[in-house]
Amino acid sequence: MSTTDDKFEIQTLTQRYADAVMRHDADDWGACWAEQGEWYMGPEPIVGRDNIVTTWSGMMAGFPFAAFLVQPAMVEVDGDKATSRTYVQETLQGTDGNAFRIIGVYNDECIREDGKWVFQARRYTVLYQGPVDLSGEVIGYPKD
Amino acid sequence: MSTIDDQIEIQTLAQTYAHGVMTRDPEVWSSTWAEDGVWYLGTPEPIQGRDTILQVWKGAMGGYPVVLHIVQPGVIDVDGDTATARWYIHESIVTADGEQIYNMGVYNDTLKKENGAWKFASRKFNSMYRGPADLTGSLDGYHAYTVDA
Repeated sequence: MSTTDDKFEIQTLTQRYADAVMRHDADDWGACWAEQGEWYMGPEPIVGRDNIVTTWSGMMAGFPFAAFLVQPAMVEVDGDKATSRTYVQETLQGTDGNAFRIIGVYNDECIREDGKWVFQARRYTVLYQGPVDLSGEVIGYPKD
Repeated sequence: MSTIDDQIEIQTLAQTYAHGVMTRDPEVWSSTWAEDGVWYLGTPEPIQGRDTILQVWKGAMGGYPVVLHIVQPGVIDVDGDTATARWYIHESIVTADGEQIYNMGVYNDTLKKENGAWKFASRKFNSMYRGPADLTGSLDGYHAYTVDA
């Protein structure tokens, strides 16, 4: 398989992840993760696909509306490993009806597991979180 | 031709469709449809055939001075000369009355090769949200969402 093919499959992975968020589909979403995947939304990761899916399902229950827009990823492939960076825009509406927006960036490590590319680690950094009209605080890109 | 080549052409087709909306260009927009394409827009009967589809589209666009149609890359499954795909769209709309609307939804599509080029054989749209741009509107559209084509 060529590097171009690998890059394309990793692009597809990020889209399948977004599609599963849109559909609130825990099976399809979980299939994007490596068995021993690590999800960083802060300093300490959530480890293991089952734990990650359980955490996600709990979070998603609070957001009946979750529109997850992802830009094409920047991917570097090295054999059976790859790194990827993806910008996302989330528009969320909670069960209380209040809507807000998150703009963030995922810095990812991907691996080939059982012949297909999956996320080994996703590190999420929030660049903006607040009202949809962007009247909230803009956090901006991290220095480090 | 590999499946990846097909997938890239199909991604491009959805971008061409969006470009047709952005530029309000009927030739570009209708070029993405198969001759006998079917458009499911939530009306009781689907709209059938490229010529009829184009007439309906022109009428709809006439009511919207502004339609900004953003489509994110889709999820595509190719099977020979046919394919299925799913795309999420985000539209910022201004109506003839000056009302600003955010329309967000999903297209579940079938595609086929016609004269060697990928075209939409059917597009089925389900709105996930339609209302004020600050998302203070109803979630009814979301609950109407279905994957079934």
